[in-house]
Amino acid sequence: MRQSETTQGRDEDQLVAAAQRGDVDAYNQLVLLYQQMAYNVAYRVLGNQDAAMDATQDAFLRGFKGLSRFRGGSFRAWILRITTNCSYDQLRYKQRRPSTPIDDLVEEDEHSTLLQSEEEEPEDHLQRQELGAVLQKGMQSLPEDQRITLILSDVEGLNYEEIAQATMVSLGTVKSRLSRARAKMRDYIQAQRELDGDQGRL
Amino acid sequence: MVKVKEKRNHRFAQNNLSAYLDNELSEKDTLRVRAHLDGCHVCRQDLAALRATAQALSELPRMPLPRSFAIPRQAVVEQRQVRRLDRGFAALRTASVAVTITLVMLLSGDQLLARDIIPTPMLRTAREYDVVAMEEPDMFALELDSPQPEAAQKPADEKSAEAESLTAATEVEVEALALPESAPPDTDVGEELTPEEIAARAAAPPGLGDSEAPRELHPLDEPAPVPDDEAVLVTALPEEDITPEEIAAAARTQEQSAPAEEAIPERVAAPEPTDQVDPVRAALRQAMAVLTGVAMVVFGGLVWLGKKRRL
Repeated sequence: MRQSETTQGRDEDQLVAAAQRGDVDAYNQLVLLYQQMAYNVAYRVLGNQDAAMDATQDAFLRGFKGLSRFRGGSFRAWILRITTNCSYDQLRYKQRRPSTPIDDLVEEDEHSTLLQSEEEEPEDHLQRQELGAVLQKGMQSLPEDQRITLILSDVEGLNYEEIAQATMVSLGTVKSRLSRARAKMRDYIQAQRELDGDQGRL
Repeated sequence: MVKVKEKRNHRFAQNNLSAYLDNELSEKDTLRVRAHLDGCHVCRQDLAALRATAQALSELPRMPLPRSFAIPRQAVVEQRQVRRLDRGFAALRTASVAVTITLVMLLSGDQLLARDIIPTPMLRTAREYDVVAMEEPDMFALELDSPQPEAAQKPADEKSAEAESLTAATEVEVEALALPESAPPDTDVGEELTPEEIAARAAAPPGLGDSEAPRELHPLDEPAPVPDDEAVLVTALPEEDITPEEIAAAARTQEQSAPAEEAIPERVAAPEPTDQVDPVRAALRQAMAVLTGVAMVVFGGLVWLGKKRRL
């Protein structure tokens, strides 16, 4: 279930080294490798596609500018850390101008983007949409540090070591944050289910 | 005893279910949790719920990428441009600080002059001071880079013309900088003195009476006349028709300027302050005018670059 360590290995190191010498093409190969994950993390933190796009763009630009400060380790964790910071910047920016309440956007986005696959029953599709919205809202209710830990671990499948690098905390902190985040999510989902009287999959 | 141990195991399991789920526990801890799970229904349920939660999160759909986030080559070029802009901006910022400090210094210098030697010695006598100042170079006058020494060398017949230009410059400056302090101060002391007193004072040799007060001058002050400048004063401009009153007034201000520097501006009088400006102040004004121009250019550049940088 959990993704193995970066498979690119040596290739990635070479790309990073080339990018650090100012090779844009090499850096862009790294972007191609991680943009999906970075964008997804930003979206899960922010719950809004436009904001996630801005955060991701900002993150990769910042990453290129700050590449000289990358001192080895997991590049993925490093770029995800920048993405996380950019996402929080966006979040604070949005909170300062609450013209678009994030809660409203969540459901809208979920409905519009969760495309129904052909073999899926319409009812299942609806249920999946609702579950996605509930999960997103539940994550939004978590404290920031727990939220990002949960996203990196359960949504993106990073291991504890990488999460520790990406969030700049110790393994023990990752462990306890994740434990608390999961427990809260579990309670949130259960409460939501009772509220709706719904016989969902959970 | 067994119950206490079970409670402790339960708490341990509850705290570590999440890590157990991820196989992130040590072998010993894993065995401990597993042993407890076998006998604890609650913990088994909680573990199942946690697993379902994590599973549901991992099944959240990936958001389709709206576009590629690859960095355009142009951005790299732009970044270099931005770096150059940044450097220009930093230089301009330093320049603006320097200009501002200098302007403030000049302004306060002008203000000190306006307050301390308000009887701004009449132009002609001021010129004579300058001759003395030339012989005993005044550090500050040199530092100011003022046209003062040149002015002192100019022949006497040019003086009236220059006085006009200086006055004009002063008026422009006064308008531009809106300095209320540069307006003429009260002239009560001058009115209090009878013509006899003035004549008497002028006749009195320097070094007596008031003039025994310390002669060191404020840095911004007019260069101090050495005792024997009385001769220069009288002899330097023989062809000009100087009335005794003028000489007397000049001598008096010369005597008073030394005590006046002890911040008693009321004691000092300005005979005709508006149309007579002493060269130090005139130089200050000129420097300020030039610096104001420079400052405008610098600030303008700063605003322009700042806008360009933000784009």
